Amino acid sequence: MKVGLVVNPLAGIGGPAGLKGSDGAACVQAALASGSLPQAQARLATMFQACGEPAQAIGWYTADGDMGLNALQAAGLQASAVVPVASPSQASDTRRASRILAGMGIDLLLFAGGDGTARDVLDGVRDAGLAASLPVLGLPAGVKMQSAVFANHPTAAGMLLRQLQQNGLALCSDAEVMDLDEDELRRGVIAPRLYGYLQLPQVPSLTQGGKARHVSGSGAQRLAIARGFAEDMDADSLYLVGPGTTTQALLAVLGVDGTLLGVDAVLGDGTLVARNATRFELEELANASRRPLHLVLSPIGGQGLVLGRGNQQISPSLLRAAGRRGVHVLAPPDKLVSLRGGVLRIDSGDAQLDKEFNGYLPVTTGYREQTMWPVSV
Amino acid sequence: MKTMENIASHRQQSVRRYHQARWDEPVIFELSQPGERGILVPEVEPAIAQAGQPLAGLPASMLRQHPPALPEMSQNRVLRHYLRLSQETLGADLNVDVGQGTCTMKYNPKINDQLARQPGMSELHPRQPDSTVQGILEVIGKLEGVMREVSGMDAVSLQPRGGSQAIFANISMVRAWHESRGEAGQRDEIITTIFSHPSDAACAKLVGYKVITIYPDADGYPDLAALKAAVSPRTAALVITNPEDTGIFNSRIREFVDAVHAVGGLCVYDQANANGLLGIARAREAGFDLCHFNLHKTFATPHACGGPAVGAVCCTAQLAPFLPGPLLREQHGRYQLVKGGEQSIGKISSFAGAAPIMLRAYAWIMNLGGEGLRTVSEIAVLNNNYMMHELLKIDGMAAPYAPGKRRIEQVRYSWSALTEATGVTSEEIGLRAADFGVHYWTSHHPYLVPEPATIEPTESYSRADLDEFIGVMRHIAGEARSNPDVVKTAPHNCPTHRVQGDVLDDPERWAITWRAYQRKLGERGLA
Repeated sequence: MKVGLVVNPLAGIGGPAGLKGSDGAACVQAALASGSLPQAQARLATMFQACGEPAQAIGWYTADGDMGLNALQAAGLQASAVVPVASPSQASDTRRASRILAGMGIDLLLFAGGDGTARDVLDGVRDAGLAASLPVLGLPAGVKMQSAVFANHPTAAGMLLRQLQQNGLALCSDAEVMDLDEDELRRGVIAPRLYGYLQLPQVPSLTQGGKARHVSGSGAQRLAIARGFAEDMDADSLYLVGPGTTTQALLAVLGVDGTLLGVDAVLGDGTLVARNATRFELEELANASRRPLHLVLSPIGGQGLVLGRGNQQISPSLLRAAGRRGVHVLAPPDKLVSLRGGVLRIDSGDAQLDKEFNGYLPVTTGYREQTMWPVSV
Repeated sequence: MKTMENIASHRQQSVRRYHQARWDEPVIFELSQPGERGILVPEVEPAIAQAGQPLAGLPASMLRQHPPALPEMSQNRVLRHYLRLSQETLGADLNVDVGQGTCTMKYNPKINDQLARQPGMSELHPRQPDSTVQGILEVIGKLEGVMREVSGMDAVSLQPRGGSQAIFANISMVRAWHESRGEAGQRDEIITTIFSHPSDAACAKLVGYKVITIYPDADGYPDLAALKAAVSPRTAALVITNPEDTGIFNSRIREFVDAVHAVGGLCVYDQANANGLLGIARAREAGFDLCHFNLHKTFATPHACGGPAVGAVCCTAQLAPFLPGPLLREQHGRYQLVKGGEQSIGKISSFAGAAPIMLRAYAWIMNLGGEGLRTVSEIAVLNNNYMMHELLKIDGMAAPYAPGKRRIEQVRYSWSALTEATGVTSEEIGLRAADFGVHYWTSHHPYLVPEPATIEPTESYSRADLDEFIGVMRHIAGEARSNPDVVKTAPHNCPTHRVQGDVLDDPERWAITWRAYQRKLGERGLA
C-alpha cells in the first residue's frame, strides 16, 4: 500500500490559546507568544504507535520537514520526500503537496490538521482530478473538526492504517468537508458552510456500525432515497432543497440542474424556481408563492446538524413557515447510526424555535423507507 | 483407563483441531460427459409402441425446441460428487451449531425424517382425492390445533412454504382487512423495528407498503416514544419480533400493541424468535391480531437451505375470513380441503403446504407433549444464559444493552473492545472459528451493535457442547492478543479461503445459478 502524508505543522496551535483556530499569520504569532505548541507531531506519534509494525510495510510519500518527513523519520519509518517545501510552510503548500501526492498513484492520502487543512487538501485533490475517487483520511489535530473526514481519535487512525495495510482498501463513502470562517467566528458569528466532499474509507474501528454491505452514501442508496421521496412530493408545494449529495440525488431524480453546496428551490412537479439562492431570495420566494413550504435537508455526518451548518440560507422564519410537518430529513441508515450522541440537531439561529423540534423527526432512509429519529436541541 | 482420562481431560482443555476436506470439485455441469448415463431406460415394448406417439398430440408451443441441458453422468459419479460437496461444508449435523443465532439451529431427530420417507407419506400426491389422504389431513388438522394452542389464536393456515411467505401472508391479510373496511388507501405504512426479523420490512414492501423502522433506545428496547411519534391514521400495522435479535424480551410489548390499536392499526407478531417462549408467553395475551411460526426453527424441521418449509400463520377470529386457502375442514372425524372464503387473500403457494415437513413437526411435538414443549423453552433459555455468563468472562466480549439482565434464547454480543485493542474484527473471529470446526454468524446489516456476534444455543446442546464452543471463543480471543495475524489470515483449514462479499451487492455480478454465472462473468473472462 502506498500512502501519502501531508501535515499542517501549525494545526491546533490556536486551540489552547482560545483563538478558535489557527488560520492567519497574526493568529499563529499570537499563539506562539502565549506558549502554545502545535498538536500535529504528538498526534502523529500516537497514530504510528497504534498502527504498529504494519506501518513499516507501507510505502510512505510525503513533503519535506515538518510537513511530513520529520514525523515519519521520528517514528523510524522509511519515506520518500517528494514535495519540496520552503520553511516556514504556508497553507498553499498543503494544497500543492496534496495535489502532487494524489497524482503519484497513492492508495490513501493521510493528512494531519483541522477543518482548514481538510479544505486545502480537498482543493489539492480536486486540482489532481481525484476528489471523487482517492481515499482520504484526516488525523484529528486541529482546533475545529466539524468535517466528517476525521478519524475519531489518533489511535483509531492508526488502527485504520493497520487494517488497510493488512486487509486491503475498504469501500469509501462521501464525507463532508466543512469550512468555518475564523475571522467571523472570533467575532462570535458562526458561519460554517459545506465546502465539498472527500472519500473516507469505511472501517469498523473508525466509525461505529459503519461496516455495512451497502456502503453509507453509495450512489444506489442515495438514488433509492431520492426516488422514494420524489414519488411523495406534492406538486403544489414549494421545496427548499439544502446542500448535500443525498439532496443532490433528489434534484437529479427531478431532472433539476441544482447545486451540490447551495440551497435550491423547486416546485413539487420538478420546476426549478431558484438556484443557489440567498436567504433573502428564499424568504421573498416563500412569501410570494403562498404555497405550502417544505425543507429537504440532510444531516452533516458525525455531528448530526440538519440546520445551521452549511445551510444558513434557511432562516428561522423559513423554518417556522415550514413547521414540523414541512421538515424532511434524508439520510442513509448508517449515517444516522454513526452520529455522535445518536441524535439529530437543529441550530437555526433561533434557540426558542429550535426547541420546538425536540422529539422525533421522520427521516427517509431508503425507497419508501423511513425511521423516526430523536432530535435534541 | 488412565489414558482415557488423560484424553478426556485433554479434550476439555483444548480446542478441537479440524480440517475440512478439499476436493477441487467442479460444478456438476462441468462433469457432464456426452452420452454418459445414470439410468438406461428400457426399449419400448412392441405392444406399447403400436399405441403410436403419445406426444404427437401436444401443441407445438408446448414442445421444447431443444432437449434440457442436464448433466450426463453415471450414478456413482453423481454420488461421489455430492458426497464430496457435503464434506466441504460445516453443516448442522457436523458442528456444534450454536453460532447461527436467530436461526434456531436445533437438532432435527432422524426418526422424523424416516417417518416422512415412508411410502405412506412419500408416495402421496397432492392431487389425490381427500378421501384417500385422510391420514395426512388429520395430521395437518391436529398440527393446526397445536399452533392455535401455542399462539392462543383462533385460526391457522399452514400453507406458506416458509417464514417469509408466512409474513407475506400476514401482511397481505392486513391489507385485505383494511380493504374490507374501506381504509386500504389511507393506511399505507407498516411499522417495524431494526432488530426485528428483516423479512418483516421486506415483505411489507413486497405487499406495497411504506416501511417505518424504529431503532432501539439506550437500553436496547424498541423506542416506545419513537413508535408513538410514528403511529398515525396512515398506520396499517406494526410487525415486530419479541424478543428481538438481541435476545432481550420487551416486557412493555402490550404498550406497543395498544399504541397501534389506538390509531386503528393491526399488530402482527413475528415469532421467528419463539424458541424461548413455548408454553410461557403467547401472542394472544399480548394483544396481537396475527402471528406466525417457522416450523424449521421452533419445531425442529430441517432448514433445508431455502427448500420446502412451513410457516404457520395464526390469527384471531376477526381476521380468519382473510386466511389463504385451501382451508382444512373437519366434520365427524372426516377431513376435507375447501377453497378460501370470499375475503381470502387467495393461495400463497400451491396445494395445502409442505406435508412431509408438517409430519416431522407433528411427530416432534407429539413426542414432547405440552409439558415437553415448555421444557424445550426452559432449557433453551438456561443454555443461553449459561453461555452468556461464560462468554462474558472473556476479555473483550460484551453483551450490549440491558446490563445485568438475562436474555431469552439468544444474545447479540459485541467484540468491539477486542477489536479496539487488537484490530481483530468479529468477521475474522468467525472465519478463525472454522479452523476449530465451529461457525458463527455476525448480524444483519447495518451493524447496529459494533463487531457483532449472534449466538443461540437452543435446547439441543449439552453443557459439554456449549463448553466446547465457549472454549473456541476464548482461544481465539487469546490468539487475537498474542498472535493476531493467525486470526486475521484465517481460515487456514478450509477449502475456500475467503469469499468476496461485495459481489453479492452488485446486480451486474451476482449469480445464484451456474448459468447466470456463465452469462454474467464467464463471457467477460472473469470466471
